[in-house]
Amino acid sequence: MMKTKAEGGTKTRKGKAAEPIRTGRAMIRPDATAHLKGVREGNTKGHYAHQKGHLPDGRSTAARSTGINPRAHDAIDPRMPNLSPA
Amino acid sequence: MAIRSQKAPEDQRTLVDMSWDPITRIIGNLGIYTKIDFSNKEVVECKSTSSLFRGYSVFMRGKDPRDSHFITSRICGICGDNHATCSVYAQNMAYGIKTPPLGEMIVNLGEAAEYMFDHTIFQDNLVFVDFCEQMVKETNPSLLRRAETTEAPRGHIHGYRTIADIMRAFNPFTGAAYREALQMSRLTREMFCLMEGRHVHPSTLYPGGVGTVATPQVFTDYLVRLLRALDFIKKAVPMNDDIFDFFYEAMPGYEEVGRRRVMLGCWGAFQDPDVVDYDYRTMNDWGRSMFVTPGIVLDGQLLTTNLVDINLGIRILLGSSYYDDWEGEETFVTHDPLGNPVDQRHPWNQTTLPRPQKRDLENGNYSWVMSPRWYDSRSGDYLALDTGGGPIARLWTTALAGLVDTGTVKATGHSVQINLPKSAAMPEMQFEWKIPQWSNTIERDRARVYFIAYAAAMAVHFVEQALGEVRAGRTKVFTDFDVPEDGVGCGFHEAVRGVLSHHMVIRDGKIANYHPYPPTPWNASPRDIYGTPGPYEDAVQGMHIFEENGPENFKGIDIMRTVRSFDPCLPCGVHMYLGDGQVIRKVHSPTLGTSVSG
Repeated sequence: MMKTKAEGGTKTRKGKAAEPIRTGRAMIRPDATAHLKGVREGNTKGHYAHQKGHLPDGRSTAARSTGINPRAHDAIDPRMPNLSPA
Repeated sequence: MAIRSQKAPEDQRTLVDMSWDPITRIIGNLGIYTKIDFSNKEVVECKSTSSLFRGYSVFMRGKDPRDSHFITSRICGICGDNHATCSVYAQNMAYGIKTPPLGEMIVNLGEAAEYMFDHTIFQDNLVFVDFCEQMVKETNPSLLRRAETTEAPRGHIHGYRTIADIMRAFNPFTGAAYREALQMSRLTREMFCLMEGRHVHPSTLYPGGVGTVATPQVFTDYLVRLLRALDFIKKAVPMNDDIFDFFYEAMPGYEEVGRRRVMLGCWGAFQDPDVVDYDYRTMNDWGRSMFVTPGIVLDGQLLTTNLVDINLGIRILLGSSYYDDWEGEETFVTHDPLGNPVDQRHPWNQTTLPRPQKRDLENGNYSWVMSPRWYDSRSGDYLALDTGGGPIARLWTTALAGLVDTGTVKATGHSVQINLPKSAAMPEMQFEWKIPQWSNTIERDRARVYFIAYAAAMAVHFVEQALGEVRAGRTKVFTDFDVPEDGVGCGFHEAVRGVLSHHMVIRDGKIANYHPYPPTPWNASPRDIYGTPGPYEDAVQGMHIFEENGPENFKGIDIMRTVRSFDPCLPCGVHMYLGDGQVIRKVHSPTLGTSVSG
């Protein structure tokens, strides 16, 4: 019978026996719901305030689109609408 | 009406069983069983049956409410986004949040594209197969001969000289209109994907907003495609009018085909971001502000436009369905947030108890579909509302209510005016859908093309508003929220083919009860406990047959046109059973170059 990957049955390209992948103890059943209480998800209150480039008044700056020198992509005049790149 | 009065006495009738099962959906779950009196050319009895159990209401229990729009989107492979949207509406109510204005416009733009896409592909690629030259040649040769010599009154707009030319354009795979519609459905699907990420199970739609990044680019990409679609729509509406007017003119009495009492329901579409707050207590106000007005039309009168009344009147009846009664089961919601009592037969309190059994068309249960009805407290009747495939109910309620006025669309109280701006090949045009005399097969089909124009006109309005928001720098499209431990929510929307509601009860942060009610349970419902037939059954029963074929090569074209006018999703295969024991099996495999059958 062929050995499974976990049993070291598969080999690498160079012919060496592959190390079995080390995993931790399973903490949930595979069919359990993806959401667990206590885990903060994207919808959690307060996340909007933590998102870079999203201003409290509903406007946004280029920082919502890029972390690389975002100010260079902001509007030249602060009175202009800030249309950040996607 | 003259035709209905020509009924033969019952003892002189020879009834032939004629059945089409499956008719619709790619998995095939709708069957129509009829008894036809060929000597008098009349359908005497009709029963609609579904052999498919879905069970969403069963396995939604215990799941995280935030998953519900992703899961319920999978109910349908063609209007899944309507379910996702409706579920998001229900969740917004349960979580006590609202989508920011630009997010709401993005959802509206996505849904408008969906209506344009789905109605076009259904009308031109599926419904019109029943009206195309090849089909009419086989079922009503004399009608085709007349069509050859009948000038198309609006030919100067759409370019087809005679009615027969239009019918040829409908021929599957080879007809010009058929092929153009396929291209159009690609274009409108792209519009949809720009807004909701993926068709037909949106990836950017969430409670509290959308994940679509709102840039000028995304809206101009949408607008470019919309303007191309406008060229198509401006020709499609006059072409539809020509073909349907011809049927009335060439076959006197055809208005009786598929006719039923005007009993239409519409749950409203396109939220107004300035008004909607998803609070149940103000639901009547924001419901009436929707850009497709919710309402119930009975015998031409608008009964109500209050979403609260609509909600509380919904009753799920049994009678011919494979379920046990839930009368003694748990009552989840005794009173709504306004303090009104909620019935045990309301979706909030429904417990689905499937009871598989043998189909008994004569005296027993024969369908997996339940019988949703709307309780009219004035008369005490349980109304078997239909959606007429969606558009006729939407236009009828919107027209009567007279509330919508965006400039591109105006409801007048007796009609809906649709203004389409100039596009690449066509000038600015105005269409007016007027409330028809009947709720029948032809008018259901005619309303569909008008609603494509309606959705396009609304999309023009939304895209202008959305661009205005972006240019003002207001780019917020989502809001954050926490899932409450307990809560109730209901969402009202229009799936492409009609009313759609999602009712949710949250307990301990999980779904305790969830019931989606899409349009097909309303339309395809079997006889309820009071013996009231469902809309398909009602529309086909008592119908005069105009087909020229006898029982030997009967296609049932008038019955098929009627059932399809309700837009029961994608027809795939038909096998036919003749009551004398001879089974004819016809499988319709759409292949280029073959003649149309089934």
